[in-house]
Amino acid sequence: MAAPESGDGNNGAARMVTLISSDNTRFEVEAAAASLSQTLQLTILDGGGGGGDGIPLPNVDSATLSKVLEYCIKHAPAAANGGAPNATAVDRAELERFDNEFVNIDQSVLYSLIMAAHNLEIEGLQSLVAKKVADMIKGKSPMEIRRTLGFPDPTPEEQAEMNAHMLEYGWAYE
Amino acid sequence: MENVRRRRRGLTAAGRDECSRRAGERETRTHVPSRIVDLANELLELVFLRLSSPICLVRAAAACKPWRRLVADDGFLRRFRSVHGPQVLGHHFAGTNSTFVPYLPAPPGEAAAIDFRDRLALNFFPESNYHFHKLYKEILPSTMEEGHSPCLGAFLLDSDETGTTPADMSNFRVLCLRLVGDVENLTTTFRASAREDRWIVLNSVVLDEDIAFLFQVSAWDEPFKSKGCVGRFGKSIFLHTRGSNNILRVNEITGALSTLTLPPDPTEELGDIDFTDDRWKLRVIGRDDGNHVLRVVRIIDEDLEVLRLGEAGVEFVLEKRVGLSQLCNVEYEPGRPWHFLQTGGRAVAPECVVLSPRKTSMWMFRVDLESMEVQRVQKKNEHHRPVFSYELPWPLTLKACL
Repeated sequence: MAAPESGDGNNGAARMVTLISSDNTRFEVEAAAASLSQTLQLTILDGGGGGGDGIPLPNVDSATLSKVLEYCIKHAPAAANGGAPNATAVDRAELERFDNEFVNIDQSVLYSLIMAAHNLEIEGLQSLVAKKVADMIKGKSPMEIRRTLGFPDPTPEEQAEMNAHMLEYGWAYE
Repeated sequence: MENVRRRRRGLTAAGRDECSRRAGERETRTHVPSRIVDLANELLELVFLRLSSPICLVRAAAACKPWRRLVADDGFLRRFRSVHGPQVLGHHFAGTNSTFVPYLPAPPGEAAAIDFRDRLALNFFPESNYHFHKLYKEILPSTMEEGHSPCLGAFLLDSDETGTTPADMSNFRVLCLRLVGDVENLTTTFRASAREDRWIVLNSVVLDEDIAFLFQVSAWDEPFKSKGCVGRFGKSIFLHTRGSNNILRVNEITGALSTLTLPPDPTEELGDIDFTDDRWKLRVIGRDDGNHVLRVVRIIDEDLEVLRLGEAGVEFVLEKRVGLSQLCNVEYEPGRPWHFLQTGGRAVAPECVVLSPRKTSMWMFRVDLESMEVQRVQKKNEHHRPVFSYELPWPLTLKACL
């Protein structure tokens, strides 16, 4: 992968930073990729995360962080080009394909991803996951939504409330 | 993943400080959500904001009480609305064959050619139209169901009296003319609005017997089609039935009825009732501002007749008569009658009409009645019919703790 141009110019070598997950796994990643996170960008601009220090992320476990970084690395080149005005249609299609496959994962991972994306302020990832979860809700009845998203079976009271709600808003069920 | 190299190492003290200074500035949550119910409200909101339709939103709200609270929140609803705007379910193409086309953007490129001056015509929707029936709202006055009292016309008004806000499913007003009693020709005007959700009687008058008869027969033919609407402005709706020399003027505000008289159409035998939609052949044209000249434009064979309301304000007198094929420089085709387009023209000035030599023609012609200038416009909306968009109810008023 080509080195992004946003490095600080020391002989073209991309600057690397180290991120440390909540379970103490260290991830070394290009600063440009990590900077997709608004939160990390501040630290990195301050010169943090280099050398042996690393930036600890106590809210993100290694499985989630690895997934987050997979996204950031893929999207970093386009982001470095300022929203990719000169990206080719092929590049954009490739990113789209990647995104679709990327969120084709277990629900529990989606939820930890959206929280990580929110905490790390990675706008694109947050939006991608939110859209995926929204797609799981779209076009379903309340009961189907509950089943799809792994709610427990409703108690009789909950069932009664659901029924009352559906009666009240009949136009949404016709 | 070649750029990520993992090295297991202990967390340094410096790193810990960095954490509390940077990443930890935002809310610190050590619990990783594994189910959607574990998601914090702010994250759930991000998901809900991406539900494109209020229908999905309402259904999600039904799923459980915490979601209901979130969706019912004023702030959330405001944000949802600002992201998605009004939800257009589809467009209803009015006309003799009403069709409802779901989820289409506004038909493109017809800015020059769609007229909403007569958009009030609420053609009640054919039963076969499944899509529309999903959105159907029963608005008949309850008395209408009893006995045999025909509806002379039902008209969709703007949502307010200024006429600036177009009507939609949540704010329409409907004006309805109904004949009460078979003998007296007593006609009553009702008005209902989506907001009040009830019918009020505006006015009751005894109609001239001939007029009442014609409208009544027309009404029986297709009871809830407001076929007779030939124009609307100056807070009035104008009705006409072929075979009649009278135009009925209905005041939208007061419900008052008055009659205007036309010179006879030489090609038509009086009392010869023809149920073809009269808007094809006759229009009442005027301005919304106070000092308007009221004109009737009608097509008689190949000619366009422009009539002007006389001094007394009761009778129309002939102003000019021109041959249409000659005016528009179109080859004369016998048996292919000219007609007004149901559309007219959206950007059409008040004194203009839009006509077409025949249904299959790809051209329509905009005629300025003052100057008789003609502009040729290509038809783009294939069915050249007025288009209404239907929106879902908003604001959602959800009961959070239902």
